[in-house]
Amino acid sequence: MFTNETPTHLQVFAWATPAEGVTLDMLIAEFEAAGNEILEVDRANNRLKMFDVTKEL
Amino acid sequence: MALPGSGVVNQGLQRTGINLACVGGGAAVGLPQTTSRYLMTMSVDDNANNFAAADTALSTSRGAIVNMFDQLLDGLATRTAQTISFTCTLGTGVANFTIRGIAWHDDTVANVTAASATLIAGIAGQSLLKTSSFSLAITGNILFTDNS
Repeated sequence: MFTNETPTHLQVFAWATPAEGVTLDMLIAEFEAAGNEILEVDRANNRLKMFDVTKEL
Repeated sequence: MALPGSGVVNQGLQRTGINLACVGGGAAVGLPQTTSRYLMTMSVDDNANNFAAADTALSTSRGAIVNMFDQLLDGLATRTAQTISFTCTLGTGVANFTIRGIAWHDDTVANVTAASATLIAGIAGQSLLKTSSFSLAITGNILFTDNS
């Protein structure tokens, strides 16, 4: 990299994982009640995608 | 909808070049150098204002930061093909406020403040009320594109 390459995008994403004693469905309900938008439900990995932003530089 | 005015700030681009060229390195040219500053810390805050290209710190143009939390990355940044990745996992007991700004810093110490001139990149305009019900793994990617 760096040969004929420039940084062009900044991408940020985040996954929320339930705390001990909290289920994924409990966390989904908490997010919905708080108005937090859930972008993806990944039940296989027990997590929820909460951010996914790509900014062109 | 236009994305918030965020990204790699001017200072961040300068730091990339400084580290690549070991500007001010302690040893003579041709010898291994030690990099004292590198992208090591992530911060989150509840300030709703966008970052500006000329910002050098979290509060440079965004004003006072009421709630802010910073933490070392989970590990050194990694690279796959043309993408550099850096991740920080916020535990259940920390950063429990509405996360609106996310930023990355280089520094010689682990802890940064809202006024530390360490800002490399940032994304504003998010809104996530973090609570003790979950941990949050935040990943930032800087994508390089082939211009040839």
